[in-house]
Amino acid sequence: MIWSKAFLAVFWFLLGWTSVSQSRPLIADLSQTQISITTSFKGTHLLLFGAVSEPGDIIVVVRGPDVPTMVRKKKRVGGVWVNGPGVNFENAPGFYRISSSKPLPKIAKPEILIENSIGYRSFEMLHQGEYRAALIRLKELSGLYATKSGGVKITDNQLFRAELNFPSSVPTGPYRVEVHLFRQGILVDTYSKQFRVRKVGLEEAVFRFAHTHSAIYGIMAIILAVVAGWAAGACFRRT
Amino acid sequence: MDFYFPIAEMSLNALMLLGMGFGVGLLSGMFGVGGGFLMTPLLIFAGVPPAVAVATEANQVVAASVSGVLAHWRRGNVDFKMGLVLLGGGFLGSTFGVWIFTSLRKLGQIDVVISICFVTFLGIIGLLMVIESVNALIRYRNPAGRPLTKLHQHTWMHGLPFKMRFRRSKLYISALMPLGIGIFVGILSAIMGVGGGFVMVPAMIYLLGMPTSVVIGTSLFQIIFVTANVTFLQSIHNQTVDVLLAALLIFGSVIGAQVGGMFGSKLRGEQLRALLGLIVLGVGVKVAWTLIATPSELFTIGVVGQ
Repeated sequence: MIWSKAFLAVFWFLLGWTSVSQSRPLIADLSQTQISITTSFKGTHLLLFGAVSEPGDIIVVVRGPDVPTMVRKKKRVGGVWVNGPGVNFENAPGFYRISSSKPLPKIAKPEILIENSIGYRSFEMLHQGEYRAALIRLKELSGLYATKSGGVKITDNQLFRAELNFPSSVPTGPYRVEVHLFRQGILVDTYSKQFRVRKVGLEEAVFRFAHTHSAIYGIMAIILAVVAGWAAGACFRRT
Repeated sequence: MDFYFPIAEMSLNALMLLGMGFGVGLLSGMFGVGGGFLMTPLLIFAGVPPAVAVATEANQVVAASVSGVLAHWRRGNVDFKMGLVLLGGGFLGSTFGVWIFTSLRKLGQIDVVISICFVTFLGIIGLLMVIESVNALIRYRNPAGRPLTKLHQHTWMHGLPFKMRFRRSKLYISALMPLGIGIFVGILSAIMGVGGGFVMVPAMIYLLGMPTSVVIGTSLFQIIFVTANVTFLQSIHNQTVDVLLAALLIFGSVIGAQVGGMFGSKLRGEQLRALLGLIVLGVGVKVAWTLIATPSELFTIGVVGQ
């Protein structure tokens, strides 16, 4: 990619900056501070890049806004599969993806990872067991959750980059990306940055109008339908 | 050609949506059914959240019905008087139906009731229509054995008060009958989230004894108002009508409805009924299968409140 060369230039700048100042063991930045959802939005990716003063292991955690999620299990009643009672996960993140330079167990002990809100096991969920497992499995299937090792590439033991992917169904709202630097299983430094996913242009206008002027929106939807139906009828009569 | 839809909050292929709209429009023009009973499951299958699918579909059915009713109106195949009486019942019924819907949802049983309603009504109506129209087709082939019958059979229903003359339908019956059918179908459409044409059409043919030619136009006329009401209520209460999604579906369906109207006028009543019967039966079998077959994924997730 052309712009990855541009970022490489930024890397070298960052590297120069770190070797001069040495103020922090870890610095990083994102290619954009906002993901804009336009009409042609099909999902996107952000580039996270940064530098470390000394070699170590990197874990990147991206967490989206909480989306209360209901998980239901089907059960058989009289030969028919019906939805059984559900479990409501109030604090389920709408988006949660981890990238790391190595498999997580090789970077730090599970307790240390949980302590630093890294991994599914750190989720504050009252319900454990199969409902929780199903939530994670289904969210992973839709591309909203992932724990991908190897997503972070380290070059020359000092520069690192990670491509963060977002599917088209990415929830809107505030996001937080946290970059953790570990050495010999100990957390050395954490860098965090926020960004937003938001609808823009037509997408934003329609969504906002539907919520602020619901009645007018409904009437306009009906008028649109009647006019479209009428127009088609009129066109076909002539032919 | 992918588009991101602001209320559904996902991107979908535009050509696929136009094709789905055309197919369902074709059915509504041919049979006078809104097509909601096909489109809603299709949208959910494409990944649209169920709440958005149901509400947006109502908006699309408004357009398909307007487009379809014009073709029938031009041929004088709409009984407006009958349509208004059915509509009166429809508004009463759907108001009551929304109350039932809310109560069932509080009990956590709405999904089961919807599925069972679908299987029961699609199955029974599809089967009855296929049997009846096949019999009619057999009689048509052997005119020698065709018994002489009256225009329609007289039953206890014809003894009810408030008799009204419906000229277009060539009927002189109690207004309570179409009103009652309107109420019943209104309840069903509120619970099942469909226009109710697939119940209304057979009820008009078999219970009221209306001529098939008038039934389709009259059913479409009535569906316009029921689905417009649903669109409005869903917009106000749930903000789940996606106009951009509806616009694409509408574009496909209004064209489909015109083409369907032309096909429909070329087919004989029995053939039309047999074909609709088979489609209704097919969907019924499909829903029954999903209820009975062991699902590959036992769990489902949904956003709370939808």
